Amino acid sequence: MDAPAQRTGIEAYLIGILKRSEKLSYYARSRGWGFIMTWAHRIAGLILVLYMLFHIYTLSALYEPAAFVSKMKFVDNFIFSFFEWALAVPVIFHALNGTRLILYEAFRIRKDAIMVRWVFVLSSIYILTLAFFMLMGNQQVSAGFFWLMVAITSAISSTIVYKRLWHTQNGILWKLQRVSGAFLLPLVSGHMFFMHLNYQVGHDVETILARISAPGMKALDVAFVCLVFFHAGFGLYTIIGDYIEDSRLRSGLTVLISFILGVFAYAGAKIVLTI
Amino acid sequence: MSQEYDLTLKISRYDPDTQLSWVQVYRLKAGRILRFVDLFRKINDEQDPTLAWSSSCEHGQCGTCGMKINGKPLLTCELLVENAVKFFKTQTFTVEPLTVAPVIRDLVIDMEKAYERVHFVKPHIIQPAPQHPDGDEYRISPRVLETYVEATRCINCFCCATACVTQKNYLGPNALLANIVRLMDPREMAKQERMDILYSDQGTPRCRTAQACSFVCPKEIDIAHFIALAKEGNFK
Repeated sequence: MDAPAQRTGIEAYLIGILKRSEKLSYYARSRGWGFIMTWAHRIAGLILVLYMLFHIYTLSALYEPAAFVSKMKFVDNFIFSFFEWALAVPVIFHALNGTRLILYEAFRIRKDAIMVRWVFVLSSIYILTLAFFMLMGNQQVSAGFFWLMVAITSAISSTIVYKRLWHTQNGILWKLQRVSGAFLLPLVSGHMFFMHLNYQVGHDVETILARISAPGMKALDVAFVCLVFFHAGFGLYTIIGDYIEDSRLRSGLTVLISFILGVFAYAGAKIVLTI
Repeated sequence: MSQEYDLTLKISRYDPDTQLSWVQVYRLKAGRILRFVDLFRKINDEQDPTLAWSSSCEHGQCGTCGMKINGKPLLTCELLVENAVKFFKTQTFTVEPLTVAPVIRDLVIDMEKAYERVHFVKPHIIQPAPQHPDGDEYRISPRVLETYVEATRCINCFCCATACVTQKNYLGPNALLANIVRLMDPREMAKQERMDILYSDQGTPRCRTAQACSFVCPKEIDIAHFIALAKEGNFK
């Protein structure tokens, strides 16, 4: 058994900070960083599922714009803004780490240590850029052009993964999880980015209503809602399968989660289509 | 004079008669090139003859002496005291049995039970390809062999299965590897039967690509690579 390799520079500093956590250090030594990344991916996913439920709940107030405005007043403060920014951490980590896993599993990219570093570097850049735009405010961008680019990127990335995996004998839901992940990577990170380009306008009811009433946006948002809830549901299904041996309990929880997420997906799609 | 270490071993004990589990602390001095199996023997000889542990070949070929040392599954016949102190940066070690099967006593697990997963995937050739017309042997080109020979080094020590994120409803990395070896073996004709096992609910869908299996493998097999080939659906 060799001693761990020496690291230098900023990486050594960051690894040093992480290793101060006894638990992290224990698993890094006994199972490797990939093990920790898997757990972080799972926890980030769970946070996002909970946020999506909350997000659909808040958006449901759009049926009565006055109620939505009063709800937005409640969240229009520094602490909530901070949490909204902090949400970018699990969002971008889950998206980029998922990309790393797809590249490893489907595209035979085995330089995993380098990919792990890129996940952290790109996540940091994204989070800091988001903070910069939130602080600056009043960023001007053509919404049509932005969303067209996002839609094209999502279509391309999901098609590439589809072509790579669809012919294999993996289960259809397993494959759909990867394809939906590839579609959501540009879409979710783009959505978060766009909504924070101009933080105040992102909460403005008129702007939101105008945005989701455009036919192209409706199509994109319905795809967004359906794929996010499918992705979340399959993620939860795999977690249940990893921990619960009793097949009846497993089936019961699967039905329960499918029902809850199905209701929220329906509610989300209805908001997009009917408002 | 060779260096000696003052070691503390916190060993998980289990008595099947009373069904009691506890952690027993042993303190001992050991030279730097003693292996952990030597430490257990030293404890048996000098302190406690009741401590049960298992080993057989003691040169990393049989996979009987797999245990968790400070949480890391490894072969204790290969772990020198000096290397353990360097790697874990401590002279105190927790010693636990692997988690893939019930504990029979102390550090000994039920290997028959653990092997059920391997037997399930049929690690032998199910349907052999026809022999070469000129002789008894089946010739495999070096280029083909090169693609999977690394995986044939697996000794089923179950270190990978213990390290894996997924502990339930999963055949485990070594059992999948045994299946994949035969899928890549040109002598095997029953490819579809193997595919059905591989992509079943207890197969590759349970792998989370955490790569802990590759990280801990005492034979340095990149198990995650072979499982990823299965997910990619391309074994070449």
